[in-house]
Amino acid sequence: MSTVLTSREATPVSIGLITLYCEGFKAQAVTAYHEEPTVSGGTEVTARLRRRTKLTFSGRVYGRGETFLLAMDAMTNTQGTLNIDYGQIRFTGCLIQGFSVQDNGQDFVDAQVILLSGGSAPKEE
Amino acid sequence: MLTQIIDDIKRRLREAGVRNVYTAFDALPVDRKGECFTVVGVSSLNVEAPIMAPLTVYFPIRAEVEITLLAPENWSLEQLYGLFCQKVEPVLLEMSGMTTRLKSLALKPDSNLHRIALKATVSAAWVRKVERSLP
Repeated sequence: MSTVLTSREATPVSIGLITLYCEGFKAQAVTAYHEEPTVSGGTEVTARLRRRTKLTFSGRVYGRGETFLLAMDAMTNTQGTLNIDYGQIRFTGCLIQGFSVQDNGQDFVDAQVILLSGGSAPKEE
Repeated sequence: MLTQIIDDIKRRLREAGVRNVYTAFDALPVDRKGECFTVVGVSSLNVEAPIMAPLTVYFPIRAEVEITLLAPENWSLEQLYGLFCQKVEPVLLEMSGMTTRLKSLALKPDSNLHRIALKATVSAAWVRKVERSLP
């Protein structure tokens, strides 16, 4: 048995003009299928829809997070798409679905951004 | 980290007129600390995961700080509590907020030192800032 000390750092993610140091990341993808009944009482899949991959970035921001909140609020109101780099992956054509800033009365706030990705590829160096 | 918070509270107490304030690390014999004296120490320290920012790393720290007021055994509890309310409590209340606050008070005899002791436990929070070097 060997013991190895680990020291992973938060991953910086640029979302428009702001950088969120992500301590948590979640990617969710689902495919929706449309089913029709058959004459024999079974079902047949007639359509398939691959929904956009939902990306959730979460982390803490020192202070009360005013800059983060204002920037995200402004970006949420715009129609454009963003390219987001997370580690060695580039997510393209991302739409901001939502964000949250939660102040729990401490010296920092918990922040979360939810994006819908249009596609992903290994990041080119 | 540990000595910074202890020294800060020691300074605040002295500025408020509390005499004979010592740290828990002070090796001075008890009989030379004065008739009535105060000891500031830390019973636990918890450092949370760092919060990163482009130019700074913030380390949130939480500690249980113990401020013990010791008086001779012949003092009444009323005298000891009166001294605490008059000198020490205002300092603790001034520091109190959502993150740092007076948490508990405990009165007990200290047979080893032949004193009666009033121990105030303060839950203290602060942030250590470390500048990052640009890549």
